[in-house]
Amino acid sequence: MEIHLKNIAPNPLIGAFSIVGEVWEKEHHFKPENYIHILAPSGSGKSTLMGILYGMRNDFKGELRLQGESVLNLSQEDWSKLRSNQIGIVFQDLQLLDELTAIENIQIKNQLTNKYTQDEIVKMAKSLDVYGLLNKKVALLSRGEKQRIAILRALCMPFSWLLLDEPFSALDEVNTQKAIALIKAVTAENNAGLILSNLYSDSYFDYTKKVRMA
Amino acid sequence: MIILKRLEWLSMKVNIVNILLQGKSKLGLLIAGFGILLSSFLIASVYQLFNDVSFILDKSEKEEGFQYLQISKEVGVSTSLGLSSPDFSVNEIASLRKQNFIEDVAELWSNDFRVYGRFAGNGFDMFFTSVKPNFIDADTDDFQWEKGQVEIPVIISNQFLTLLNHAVLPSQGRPPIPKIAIKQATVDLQLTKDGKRLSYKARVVGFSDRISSVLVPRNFLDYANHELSGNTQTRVSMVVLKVKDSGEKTLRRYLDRNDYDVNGEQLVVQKSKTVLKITLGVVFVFGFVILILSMALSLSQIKGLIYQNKDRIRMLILLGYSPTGIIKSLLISIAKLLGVIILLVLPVIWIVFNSVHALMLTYALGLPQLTIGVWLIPISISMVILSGIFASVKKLIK
Repeated sequence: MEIHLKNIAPNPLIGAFSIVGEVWEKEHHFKPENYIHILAPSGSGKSTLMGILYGMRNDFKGELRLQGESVLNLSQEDWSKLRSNQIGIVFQDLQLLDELTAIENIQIKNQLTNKYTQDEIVKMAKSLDVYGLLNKKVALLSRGEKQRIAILRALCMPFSWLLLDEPFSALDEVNTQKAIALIKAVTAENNAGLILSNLYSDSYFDYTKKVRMA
Repeated sequence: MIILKRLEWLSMKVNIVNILLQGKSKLGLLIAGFGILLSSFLIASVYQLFNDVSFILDKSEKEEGFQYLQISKEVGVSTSLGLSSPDFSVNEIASLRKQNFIEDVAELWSNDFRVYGRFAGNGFDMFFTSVKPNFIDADTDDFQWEKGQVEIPVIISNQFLTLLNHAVLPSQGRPPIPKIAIKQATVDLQLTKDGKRLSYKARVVGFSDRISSVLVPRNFLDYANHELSGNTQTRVSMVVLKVKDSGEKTLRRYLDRNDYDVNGEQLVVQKSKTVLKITLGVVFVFGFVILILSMALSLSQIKGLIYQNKDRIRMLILLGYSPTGIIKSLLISIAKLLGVIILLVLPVIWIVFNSVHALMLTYALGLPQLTIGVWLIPISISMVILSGIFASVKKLIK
C-alpha cells in the first residue's frame, strides 16, 4: 500500500513560523516495503504525523492518500479495517489497558484477525524476554516491560505498514536489539514497510529514506 | 518453565463488553433490570386478568354480543296501596321497544293463581312465568305442553339450583342433588284459586342463566290462568331486555327515570366489572410507569458507563475494533440480559396463571386460556428497550 503525502500541515501549525523541515507542506511517496526514518526533535509534530497516518487526526490541510484513495473518503468502519489489517502502530504513550494482563492486552489485538497461535506468541514473548510477565497486570509492569508488550501487540496483525513512534525509548541496548530483530522478522514476513519516528538519528533498520521534521 | 494457565487460546477471547462496562457500581443497572422484570410481569398480568374478567363476567350474558337484563317495576307505597300496578302495561312495554338502546323486549307473563309444589319431602309456594322462546337460553326441544298432558316441562334458573344445593338441602342435612337427577325427578304441583284446583307434575327439562324464574310453556300458562282465574289476558310482571351494553348510561338513566328495578345480581356484576376494570387500569398504569422509569434508568446507567469508559472505547477503536462491532457486542450482552429477564418472567406468569385458572375451574368459573399477548408483552418490552439502547449507544459511540 503506497502512502502519498502532499503538502500536509496540521491546522495548529498553519501560518506559524514553525513549519519547517522535510515533512510538512512537502510531498512524499512512501512505497510498499520502504523503511522510513522520521527524525524529529521534541515538539516538531512526529506524533501528530503518526496520528494523521493512523487516522487519529483529521485536523490538517493538504492531502493524504493511501493506495491512491484520499483519507477524506474513509469512514470509521474503513479506518477500523485498515487498523486491523493494514496499518499497525506502537504508540508513543503505548495505550495499554492497565487493568488487563499483558497477555490480555496482546490477545485483544490478536483476536481481531487470529494472526498468531498460542505457541507463536509465546515464542515472540520469549524473544523479548517478557514470557514470564504475560500473566501480570500491565499496571504492575515497568515502562520498558510495557513497551515490549506494546511492540508485541502491534505485531499481532497482518500489516502493510508498521508505525513506530519512539518505540525503544524505555529499552536498554540489549532489549532494543531484541525488539529490532523481532520487528525485522515480522515485517519481512508481512512484506511490509515501516515508519519509525525518533528524537535522534539511528541505524536500527536499513532505512530507505530519512526525513527530518525540523 | 512457567506454565501460563490462562493461555487457552480457543476459549480465551477477551470480552470487550467487560472492558466497556467497567464501572464502580452496577447497582443502578440491577435496579433497572428488576424494574423491567416487575413491570413486564405487571403489564402481562393485567392483560391476562382483563381477559379472565371479561371471560367470567361476560360468559353467560354476552352470547351473540348481547346482554340480557331482567327488570321489574319498583314496589313503592303506591303499589302497596293499589294506586299503581306492579305489572307492565302495554304502553310501557311499547315505550321500552321504542328505545334505540334496547334491541328487543320480552314479556315475562305470570301466573294468576297459587302454585304449591312438593319435592324431596319439602312443600313450597312457587310461581310460574313464561317468555318468548328466542329469549330462553336452554334447550327447548322438550319444552312443549299439550292440553290434557299431566306433566309440565319447566326450565328453572341455575340460581335456584345453587340455592337448593348450597342452602336448603345442607340446612336439612341432606346431600346436594345433581342436575341430571333433578331432571329425572318430578315435582307434584297443586294450582289453586278461588276454590278451584288443578294437579300436575312438573319436570325440569333445562336450566337458565339468563332468566331468574321458573319458566313454563306459554300455552300452559294461558290455559291455567283461564281455568283458575278466568283471565284471558296474562299479566306481565317482569320484562327481559336484550341490550348491547347493560352498563350504558342512557339505558341506566331511562330505567331510573321510570323506576324500573334491574335484577340485583346483574347490577352488582356490572358494577363489579367496572370496579375491576378500573382497578386493573390503575395497576396497568402503575406497571407502565415502572416500565418507563426502568427504561430511563437503564438507558442513563448505560450512557453513564459508556461515558466513564470512553477512553477504553476510543482505545479499542484505535486498535482496529469497528464502532459497529462494539455496538453489536454491547447489544448482544444487553439482549442476553433481557433474555434472562424474559426467561424469568414467562415461567412465573405460566405458574401463577395456571394456579389462578385451576382455582377458577374449582369454582366452576370456566377455564380461560393464557392469551398469546401475555407471552408477547415481555418480549415486546425487551425489543423496545433494546431499540432504545441501540439508538443511544450508536449516538454516543459515534
